[in-house]
Amino acid sequence: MSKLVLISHGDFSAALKASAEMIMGPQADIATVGLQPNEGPEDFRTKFEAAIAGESKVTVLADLKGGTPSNVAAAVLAQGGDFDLYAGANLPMVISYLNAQMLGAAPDLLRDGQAGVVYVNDIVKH
Amino acid sequence: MAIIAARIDGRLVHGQVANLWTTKLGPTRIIVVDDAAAKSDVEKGGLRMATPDGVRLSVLDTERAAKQILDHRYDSQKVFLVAKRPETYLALVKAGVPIKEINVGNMSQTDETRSITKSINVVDADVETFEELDSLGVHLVAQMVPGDPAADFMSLLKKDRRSEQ
Repeated sequence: MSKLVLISHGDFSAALKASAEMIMGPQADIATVGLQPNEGPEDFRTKFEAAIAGESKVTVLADLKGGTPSNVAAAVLAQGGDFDLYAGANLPMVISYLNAQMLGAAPDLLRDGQAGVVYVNDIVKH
Repeated sequence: MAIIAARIDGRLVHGQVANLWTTKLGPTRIIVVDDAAAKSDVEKGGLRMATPDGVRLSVLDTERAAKQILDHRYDSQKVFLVAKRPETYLALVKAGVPIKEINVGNMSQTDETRSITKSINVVDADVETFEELDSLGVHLVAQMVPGDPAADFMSLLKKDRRSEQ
């Protein structure tokens, strides 16, 4: 079973999941791991490893490149972790992932994540 | 092929319609049937922005929508109809537009409405419109997301009636 793991500073990952569910319906196969203010990298690593344990096909979206959640996941990846890791998570990426799951296709998270970032003024004022 | 799906949605083209249902249904064109939006460039601009790349969009008033559909203008296309309210569909069906099924999506809450599901809120006049659509042979369903089973909407309305008595 494929699993999407959202990781972030604080509660962004949990809220990102909730917002995606508002659009796409309830999602059983999304896990979230938030680094809380009182936690260090080791605490986060323990929670992150628990979230990906026993899963065969894991995609991880981290909130911020260079931040602790992304850095910890990158370290796990470098030490032989078997998952796809992206940083700069946004709602278009989560929707892209879920749509690809629904259609049984491979998502292009970089393309869809970037395509969802636009300067709206350029569209509205033609 | 023409009409592949019809949805009632108070928000017209928005997150769910654009990202979820359009992906699932694979229409080549979304037709928004809305008399007010058809007259407003601002609303049309907003709807255009919300429509996914690669899908065409028409924003038409009820009369023009019926005429263009019945003129076979979209016969070679896969059309996804979206309108805010049931009376728009009743007008289309009465004009002869072949609509077999309508998914009742979002009808938002006001001071006068009562809730049928979390996302569907109606007044008595809406119930009468739904009953008329039903009597004209249109199957009404309520399905929030493709993974959910499609609930029979008239049964939900009847349940609501019973709980009132």
